[in-house]
Amino acid sequence: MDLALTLTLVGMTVVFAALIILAFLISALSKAVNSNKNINADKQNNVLITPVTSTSSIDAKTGTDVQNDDELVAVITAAILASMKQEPDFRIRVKSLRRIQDNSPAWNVAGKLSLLNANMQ
Amino acid sequence: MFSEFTSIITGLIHDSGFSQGDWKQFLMIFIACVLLYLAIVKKYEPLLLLPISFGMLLANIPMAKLSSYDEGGLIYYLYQGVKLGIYPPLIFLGIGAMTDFGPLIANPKSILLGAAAQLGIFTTFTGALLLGFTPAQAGAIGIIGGADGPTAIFVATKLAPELLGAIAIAAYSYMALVPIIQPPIMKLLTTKKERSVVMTQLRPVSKTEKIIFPIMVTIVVSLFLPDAAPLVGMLMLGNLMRESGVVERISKTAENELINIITIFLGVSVGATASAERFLSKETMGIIVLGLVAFSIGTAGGVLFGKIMYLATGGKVNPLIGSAGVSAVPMAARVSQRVGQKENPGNFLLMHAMGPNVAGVIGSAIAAGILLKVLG
Repeated sequence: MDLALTLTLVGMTVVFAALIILAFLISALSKAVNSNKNINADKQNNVLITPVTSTSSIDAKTGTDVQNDDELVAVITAAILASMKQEPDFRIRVKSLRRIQDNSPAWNVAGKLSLLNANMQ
Repeated sequence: MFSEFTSIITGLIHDSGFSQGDWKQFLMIFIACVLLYLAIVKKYEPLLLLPISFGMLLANIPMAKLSSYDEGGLIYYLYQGVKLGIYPPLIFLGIGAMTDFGPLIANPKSILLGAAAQLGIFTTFTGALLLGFTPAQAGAIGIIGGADGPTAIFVATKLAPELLGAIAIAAYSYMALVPIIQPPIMKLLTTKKERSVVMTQLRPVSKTEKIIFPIMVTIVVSLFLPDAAPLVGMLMLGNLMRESGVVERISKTAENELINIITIFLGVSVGATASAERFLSKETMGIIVLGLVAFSIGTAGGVLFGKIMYLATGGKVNPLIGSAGVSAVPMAARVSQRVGQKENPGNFLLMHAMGPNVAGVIGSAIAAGILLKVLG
C-alpha cells in the first residue's frame, strides 16, 4: 500500500503543479497580449442599441441599467412573445434583462442592421 | 461420387465454427451482441462502442482467426497501430482540431478543477492494488478515471495489454453513462445555495492567445513530463492547426477523415483483443466495478475542489462546474449545465464548465504520463 499512497500523492502533486504553472502562464500570456489592444466593444454596443431606439422612440442611454427602462422591457417582452407565436398560450414573465458584450464581427452586425432596416420599410 | 460429396460436406461441417467453438466463445458473441444493442439502440458512445463490440464479435468467431492476436489476420495488422501507440495520439490530433480552449484561456483558474478531477485515477489505482492487480495493471485500470478513451487505450497498451479490451469497453461505457453517474454525486456534495451561483460572463479571448496557447502548453508539459508528450503534443498540434486559420485543409482532414479512419481501425482492433479467455475472468468484473469507482471519485474530487474555489473566491465559482473536470468532453460540461439549470433556470454554466472540461483532457494526459513514467 506504500506504492499506492506514494503514487497518489506524487501523481496529484505533479498534476496540480503542472496545471498551476500552466494557469500562471496563461494569465501572463493574456496580460501580455491584451495590454496593447484597443477595446472595440463599446462601439459595437452603441450600434446594437440603435435599432431598438429608432423603432420605439425610447432614449435608452448606453451604459444605464436596461432593466429600469419600463418601455424597453415591454418592447423586448413583446418581441419575445411575438417570436413564440406558435404557442399562443405560452405565459412568460421576463425576470431580468442584462446587456452582454457583443463580440460579433462587424460584418455580421452590419448584415443584421440592413435586414432590420429592410423589414421596417 | 456420392460418398465423396458427403465426406466433403461432413468435413465442412466438422471444420465450421459451429462444431469447433466452445461455449465461452458463444457467450462472448452474445455479450458482443448486447454491447451492439447498447451502442445502436441506447446510443452509448456509438462511434467507438459499435466498432469495439463488432471487433469483439469477430474475434470470438471460432476458426475465423480474426482476433488481434491471430498473426497474419486482417485485424492483427490493424492492431499494430494500437500496440505501437500510434492511433491514440492521432485521435488526440483530431480532438485537438475540434476543441475550443477559449473558455479555459478566459478563466485559467478553472484549470485547477481539471486537476482535481484526476483524483479518480489515483484512488482507483489504490483500489485496483487492493483487489490484487499488479501495479502496472492497476495503473491501466486507474486511467479509466481520466474519462478519456484514447488516453486509457494508450496507457493500457503500454502497461497492461492483456486487459486492453475490458478497459476500453469499461471506459467508453462509463463515458456514455456520465449523465447518469454524475448528477447524484454532484447534488450530494453541494448545497442549494452553492448550486445556484451565477458566474460572470467570460471575457472574449483573442486570436493571438488562442494561437500561442497550444505552443506554450506543448513546450511546458513536454519538458515537465516527456512521457505525456505524444498525447499532449498531438492534442495541441490539432488545436494549433485549428486556431492558426492558415491550414484549413489539413485541419479539416484531422477533425473529419483522419479521426474517422483511425476510430474505425482503433475500435475494431481494440474490440478484437477481447477474446474469450482474456475477457471472461474475474479481472473483467473487477475492472467494471473499479471503472465506476473511478468516475465517481473523479466527479467527487472535482466538485469538492469546486467548493474550495467557491469559498476561496467568496461565492463567485459554482462548484457544479468542478465535475466537468472529468474529461468526457462535452458531456460532462452539459451535465453541469443541466444540474445548474435545475436549480436556477436562468443559469448558463455550459461555457464556464467547458474550461475545466478541456483542462481535464490535459490533466488526464499528464496523469497518464506520470503512470507511464513510474509504472512502465
